[in-house]
Amino acid sequence: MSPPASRENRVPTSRSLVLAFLGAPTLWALHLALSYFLVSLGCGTGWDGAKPAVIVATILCAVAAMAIGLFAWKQRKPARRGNAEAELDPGPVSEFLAISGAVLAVLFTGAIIMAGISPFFLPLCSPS
Amino acid sequence: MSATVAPAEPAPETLEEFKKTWSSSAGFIGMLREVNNIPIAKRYMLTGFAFFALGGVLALLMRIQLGSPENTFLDAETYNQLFTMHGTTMMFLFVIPFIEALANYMLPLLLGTRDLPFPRMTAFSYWTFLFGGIFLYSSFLFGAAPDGGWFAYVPLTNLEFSPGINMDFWDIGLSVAEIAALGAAAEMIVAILRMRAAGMKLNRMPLFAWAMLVTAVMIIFAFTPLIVGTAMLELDRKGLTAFFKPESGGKPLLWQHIFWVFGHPEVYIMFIPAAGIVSHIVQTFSQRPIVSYTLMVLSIVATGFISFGLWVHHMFTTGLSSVALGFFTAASMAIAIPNGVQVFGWIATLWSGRPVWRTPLLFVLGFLVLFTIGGLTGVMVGSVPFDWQAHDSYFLVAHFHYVLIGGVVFPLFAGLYYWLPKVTGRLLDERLGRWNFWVMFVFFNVAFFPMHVSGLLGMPRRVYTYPAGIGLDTLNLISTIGAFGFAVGIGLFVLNVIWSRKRGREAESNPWGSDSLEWSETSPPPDAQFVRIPVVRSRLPLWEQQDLLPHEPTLVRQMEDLNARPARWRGALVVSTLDATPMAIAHVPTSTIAPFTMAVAFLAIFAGALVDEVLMLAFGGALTAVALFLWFRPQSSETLALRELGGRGPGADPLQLAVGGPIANGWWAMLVFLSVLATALVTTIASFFYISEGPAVAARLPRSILEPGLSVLLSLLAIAAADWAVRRVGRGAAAPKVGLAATWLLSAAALALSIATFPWATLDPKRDAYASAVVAMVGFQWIVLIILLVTTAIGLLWAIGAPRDPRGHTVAHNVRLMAAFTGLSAAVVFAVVYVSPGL
Repeated sequence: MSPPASRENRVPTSRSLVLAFLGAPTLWALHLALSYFLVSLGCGTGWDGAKPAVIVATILCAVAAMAIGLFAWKQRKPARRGNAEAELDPGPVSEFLAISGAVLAVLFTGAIIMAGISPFFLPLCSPS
Repeated sequence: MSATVAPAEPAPETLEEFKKTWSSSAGFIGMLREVNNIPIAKRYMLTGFAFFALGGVLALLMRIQLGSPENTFLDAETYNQLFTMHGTTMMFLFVIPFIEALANYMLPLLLGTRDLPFPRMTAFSYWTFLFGGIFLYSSFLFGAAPDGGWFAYVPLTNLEFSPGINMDFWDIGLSVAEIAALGAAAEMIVAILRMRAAGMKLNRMPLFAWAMLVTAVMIIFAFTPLIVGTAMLELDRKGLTAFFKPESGGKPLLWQHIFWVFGHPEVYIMFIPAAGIVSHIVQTFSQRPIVSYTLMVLSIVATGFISFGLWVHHMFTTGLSSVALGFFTAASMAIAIPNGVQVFGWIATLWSGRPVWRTPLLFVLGFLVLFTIGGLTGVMVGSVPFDWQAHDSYFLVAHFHYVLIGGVVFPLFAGLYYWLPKVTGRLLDERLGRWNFWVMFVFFNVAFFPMHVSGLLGMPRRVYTYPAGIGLDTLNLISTIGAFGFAVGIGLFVLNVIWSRKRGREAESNPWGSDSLEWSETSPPPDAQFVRIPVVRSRLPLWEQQDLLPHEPTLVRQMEDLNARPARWRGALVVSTLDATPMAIAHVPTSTIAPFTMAVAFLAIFAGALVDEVLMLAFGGALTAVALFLWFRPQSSETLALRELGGRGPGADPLQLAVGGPIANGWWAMLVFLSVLATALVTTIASFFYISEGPAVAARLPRSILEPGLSVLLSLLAIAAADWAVRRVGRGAAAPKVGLAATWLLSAAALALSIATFPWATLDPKRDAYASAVVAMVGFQWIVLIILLVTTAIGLLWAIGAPRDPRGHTVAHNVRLMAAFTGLSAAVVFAVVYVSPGL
C-alpha cells in the first residue's frame, strides 16, 4: 500500500477543480434567483420576513463564495518547469482552473454583495 | 527533452484510401446526404449571409419610409411586418446561424480534429435552419408576415389582438430555427470538450474555442426557455391553454420574463464569439501573444454567467418592485467589469505589440470604438431612472445597433477577412477591403448616431411615421442616408469576395503568420483534414513549437495509429476533458439522407401545426419515424470500426474505440440533452409558480395524492432497474435484458398511471391559466417518460439482438442517464404540482 500523499503533493480532483472554477458564479446565480423569489414572495403574500431573508441569503452566499475562492486558491499547484518542452507550457491545467476560480470568486462575491445591498436602501415592495 | 521521432509516411495506398473515406459526396443526392463539416458550414454561411441581405433590404425599406415625415411609402401594417421580420431575421436567421456556421468550419481546424463529433447533427441543423427560414419568409407570400415585433409581446400577440396566422408563422418558424441552434450547440460542446488535439489542455485552448464553448452552453440554457415560451404562446393561440390570458388568470408579464431570459443572454451569445474572433485577430496582427490569456478566458466565462442575470433590465418600466430592479441593475453594472477587462486586454496587446494595420485589424478597431460607445449607452440604460426616460425610444435603437453591429457584425467582417482566405484559398483584396471598412464605419455612424438624439427628443420606436416640424425630419433623413451608405459598404464586401474568388492572390497555408492550428492546413483545407493529428505543447503552437509531432514514446505510438488511419472509416481522436490526454478513437458517421429526411419531417409537422392539417402532421410523424430508423440503424462503417478496433481493451495504448459508455461521444451528447430537458423543467416550474401567485388553488386538485405518488415511485424504481441493467452490461448474461425490460415496464406503468389518474374533469386549461400550468408540468413529465420509453426500447433491442455489441452498451448507459433524470423530474413535478399548493 502506497503512503498517503502529503497535502502539498495531493493532485486536485476534477470535481474539486470544477467546484473551484464554477462554484462562485453558480452561487451568484442562485443568490439572484433566490433573492428575486423572496422579494416576489414577500410582496405577493405580505410576508414580513422577506427583507431579512434576502439579507441572510446575501451574507450566506457571499461567505460561501469567498470560501470557494479560498478553496480554489489552495487547489493551485506550482507549475512544473525545468525542461525545454515545459518552457512553452502555460502550466498545469489544475493551476489555471484554481487561480481562475479564485479570481472569479472575488468578482462574484462582489456581484452578490452589490445585488444584496438593495434592500438596505430601497423599500421592498414599492412599485417602480 | 526527448528527441523528435519523425513518423513514417503513410503508404500511398493507405493515404489514398483515407482521403477517399473522408471525401465529400458528389451530385444532387450527394448534396442532400452530405454530412462533412466543411461543405455544410459553407452552405450555412452562404444561407446566413443571404438572410442578412434580406434583413438588410427590410431595414432599407423602413428607412425609406422614415426618411421624410408623414411618408406614405409604407402603410402601418406593412411597417409592422418589416420591423418584426428585420429583427427576427437578424437575430435568428443571420447572427446565430452565421456564428455557428463559422464555428462548424473553424472549430475542427482550430482544435486539430478531423470533424465535429456528430456530423449528422451538423447537417440536420443546417437543413432545419434553412427550412425554418424559408418557412418564416413564406409568410410574405400569403400576406401574413409576422407583425408583433421580434419580441412578440402578449397580449398584443394573443389571438384576440393578432387574429391572423402572422404570429403563428413567427412562433413555429422560430421553433424550427431554435432546434437547429440547440443541435449545433450540443455538437460544439462535445467537440470542444472531447475532440481536441493531443496535448491541447484547457489552458492551451484557442480563445475562439473558449468563446464557442461558453456560447454553446449559453445557447442550451437560453434557447430552451424560448422554446418552452413559444410553445406556450402557440398553445394559447390555438385556444388550448391560457398561460398569458389575463381574463383567465394568465400573466402577460410571464411572457416578458421568459422572452428576456432568452433575449438578454442572446446579446452575449452573439457578442462572445465575436470577442473570440477579435482576440485571434488582435494577437495575430499585433505579432505577440494576447495580454493575459487567463483574464480573457475568465472574462468570457464571467460574461456568460452574468448575462443570465440581466433580463429584467428590459422590464424596468413594467412596475416591478424597486428592490427587484436593484438586483438587476447591480448585475447590469457588474457585467461591465469582464467586458472592460477584455477591451483593455485587446488595447494592451495592440499597445505592446507591433500592429500591422490590415483590413481585419481595421474592422477590429472599428469594433473597439463602436462597441465601447454601445457599452457606455448600455450602462446608461442599465440605470433605472435613465431607462424610464429612454425606454422604447430611438435612443434604444441606437444603443443596441451600436452593440450588435459594432460589437458583432464588425468582428464578423473582421473574421471573414481573416479566415476567408483559409476557406476559399484566395486572399481578399486589401484596397477594396479598406474601402469596405471605412464606408461601413462612417455610414454606420451617420445612420445610427443621430438616433441617440432623435430618441432623446422623444421619437418612439416602432412608429411607421412622425409629424413634420417637431425636430425629427433632418435627423431621420441623415439616418436614412447613412443606412444606404452602410448598405453600399456591405455591397463592397460582396464585390470583394466575388472579385477575389477569380482574381485574388492565392493564399498560402498561413498567410498572416498566425499562431493557431487552422493555419497548419492548406488553404482551403482538404476534406480529409489532419491526416496526421497534431500534438500541442504550447498555447501558440505555430509560433512556439518547432513541429506538431509527438515526442514521448507512448504518444508517438498513439499518433502513429492515427497517421492517415483509420483508412476505411472515419475516425477521430478523443481526449480527456482537462488535459487532452489521448483516450480513444471515435467513429465519425458518414453521409446519410437521415438528417435531410428528419428536417423535412419537422417542416411537415410545423406546417401542419400552422394550418391545423392533421394529414400533414401524420405525414410528418411517419417521416420522423423513418428518419429515426435511418439515423439510428448501425452504419456499415461503424461495424467496420468495431471489427478493426473492437478487440482492444480499455486503456490508451493502443487507443480503444470510443464506444460502450462514458467514453462514447453519444454519452456526452445525452448529458447535453438532459441539460436541455432540465432547463425546460425549470422554465415550466418557474411559470407554474408565477401563474400560481394569488388566490388559493389547491382546492382544484384531487385530495388524494396516492396515484400520482405511486407513479413517481414507479419512475424511481425505473432508475434502480436501469442502473442494475448497466452494471451487468457486457457480461453476456440475461440480466441487462431483464433490467432494461423492467425499466421499460416500470416507466410505461408510471406513464399510464399518471395519464389515467390525471384530474381531467376538475381542470380546464382552456379557460384557466392555473390549469394550463398544471398541464404543462404534468405534460412535460409525460414527454420525458415517452423519450425514456423510446430510448429503453432501442437499448432493449440491442440487448436482445447483440448483447455483446458495445454500441448497445452505449445505449444502455444513456438509458440509465435518462431514467435518472426521469425519476428525479417525476419527484420534482409531483412536489410542485401536488404538494406545494397545500403548503
